[in-house]
Amino acid sequence: MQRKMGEGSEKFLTERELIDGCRRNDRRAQKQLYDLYAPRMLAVCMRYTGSRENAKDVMQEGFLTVFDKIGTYKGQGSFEGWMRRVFANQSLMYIRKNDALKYADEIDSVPESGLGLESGDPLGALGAKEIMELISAMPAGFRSVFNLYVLEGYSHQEIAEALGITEGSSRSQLSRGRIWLQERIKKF
Amino acid sequence: MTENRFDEQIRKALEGYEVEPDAGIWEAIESTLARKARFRVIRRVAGYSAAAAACLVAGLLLFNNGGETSLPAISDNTVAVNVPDPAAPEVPVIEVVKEPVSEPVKAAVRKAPAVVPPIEEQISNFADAYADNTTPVEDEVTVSEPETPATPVKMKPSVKEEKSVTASNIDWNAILAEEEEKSASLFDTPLLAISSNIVSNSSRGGFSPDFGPGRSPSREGSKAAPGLPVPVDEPTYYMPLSFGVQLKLPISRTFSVGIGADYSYIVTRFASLVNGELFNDTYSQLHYVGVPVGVYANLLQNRTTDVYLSFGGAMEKCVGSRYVYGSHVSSGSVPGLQFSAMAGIGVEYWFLPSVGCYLDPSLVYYFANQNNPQPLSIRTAEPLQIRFEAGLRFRLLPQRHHHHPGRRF
Repeated sequence: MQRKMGEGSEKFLTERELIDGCRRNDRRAQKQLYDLYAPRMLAVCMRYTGSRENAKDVMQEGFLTVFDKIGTYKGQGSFEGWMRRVFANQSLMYIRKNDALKYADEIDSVPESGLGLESGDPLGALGAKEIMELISAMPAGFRSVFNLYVLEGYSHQEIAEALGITEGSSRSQLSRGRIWLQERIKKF
Repeated sequence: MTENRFDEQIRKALEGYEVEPDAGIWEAIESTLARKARFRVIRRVAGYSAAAAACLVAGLLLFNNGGETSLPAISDNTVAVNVPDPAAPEVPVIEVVKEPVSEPVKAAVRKAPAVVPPIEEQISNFADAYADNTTPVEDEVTVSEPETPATPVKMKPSVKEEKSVTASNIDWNAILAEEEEKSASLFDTPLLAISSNIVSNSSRGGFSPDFGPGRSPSREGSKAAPGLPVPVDEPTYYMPLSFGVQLKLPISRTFSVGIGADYSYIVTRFASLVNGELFNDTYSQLHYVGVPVGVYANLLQNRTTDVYLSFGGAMEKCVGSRYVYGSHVSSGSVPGLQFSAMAGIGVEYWFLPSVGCYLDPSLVYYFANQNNPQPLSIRTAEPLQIRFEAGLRFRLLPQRHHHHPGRRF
């Protein structure tokens, strides 16, 4: 039995109906899709771009891409996973266009190893909002690799291809990114 | 704390995290979607226009092979005339003796074609009919699907589900190239123009002094075709009306090429002698359709204003001629083509990101067709003309609408 969506709205749609509506450029379906996913996708964009203002632009572009490309989604996997990758790609393109990955000043100043969180688990004391703020404050290179590896599950090989860097650089930035984040968590 | 445990804690903390978007983002998206739908319609119209232009060229080449018309020749000394009779269900065809002419008469008579609605009206109707019925264009796949089974949309995201996503089959370079192409330049966008002449020097009241009474225009070389009412005074030329569509394609940052289809309606008034009878007010109405082509060289470009040089030419076919004198109406086809060359300077102003207006003043020269003289008109009387063409241009690839004006990636 298909689960009905959009309770409280004029139309109850299953996921399939919602996607089909978007494929037909049905504006109500597009609006419902936006209402359903915009809060989560804005959080994704913020994690990558580091600011709410930039994330809003990226999210806007991302939804236009989703509506453009939704015909390519064949229903063989998680639709939300497909959407998340669209927004992740959109965010990475924004970062690459702004050459954010080239600014490595802060990267070189962070050691690759030797630091770690002490016992007492200060991370557990932080809420999602605080962690989001810390991730948003990371240097772009750290932030991109950290998001792709830790939160999206990409391999270093995939990250290297996506960002146009070497696998070694991806590993190095992830390691330094963790340390950078742990430092800030301890000081939080 | 191990790296894995640290990563896991971060993932768990951010699972299902949401940020409420600002009001107004959806409105910006919706506005862009609506504009893209309109441009899809315009793209279709442009495609149909290009196809029509290609068919027109092919047709003109086929039907003008050797300068012969597809209609049968008639007696040298007669021309068939349709005399309208409101009481009769069908218009009778009579033959009248016409003034002797120096060349064989080949023109046959038929009713004038129906007047073609202005192209702007056709496109507007077309756009209205299809704007809401367009289907999304399925471009090449740039984002692959995750391999997890289909599930209904969940109100909260699952981090485990996200972990199954891989990027191995994502064509990142293609995605980036596509996006860069979309936003790289305002100047790489094909343009569709809807044009019309706004004023011309063609409406002068008379012309060559040697074109006096008793002289057939057919004796003046290309000034008129044979078999038509003979002017016996100085004609009055009305301003031709022209409408057209054109597709302008950039071939580099500096140069563009254009091709289109246009229609011109040319009216001339003169006194004529037919069968020894003088008709003071004889009107000739000519309908031309043609294919203009051009090359454009940009002189100045910025976000709102373009200035460019234009060079080109046109091949036109008179698809209908109609002569009205007294109570008589004669109509027929005209063999041969009208060729012209033009050079000018134009300016266009983009008052919306994808809609602009333009003015193309140009110098046009209409070549005489020695084999198939074109009917008397301002073009045969005054082959060198100044033309002022104005119209609207539309970018066929929409510019993305951003929530924050002025911000660009």
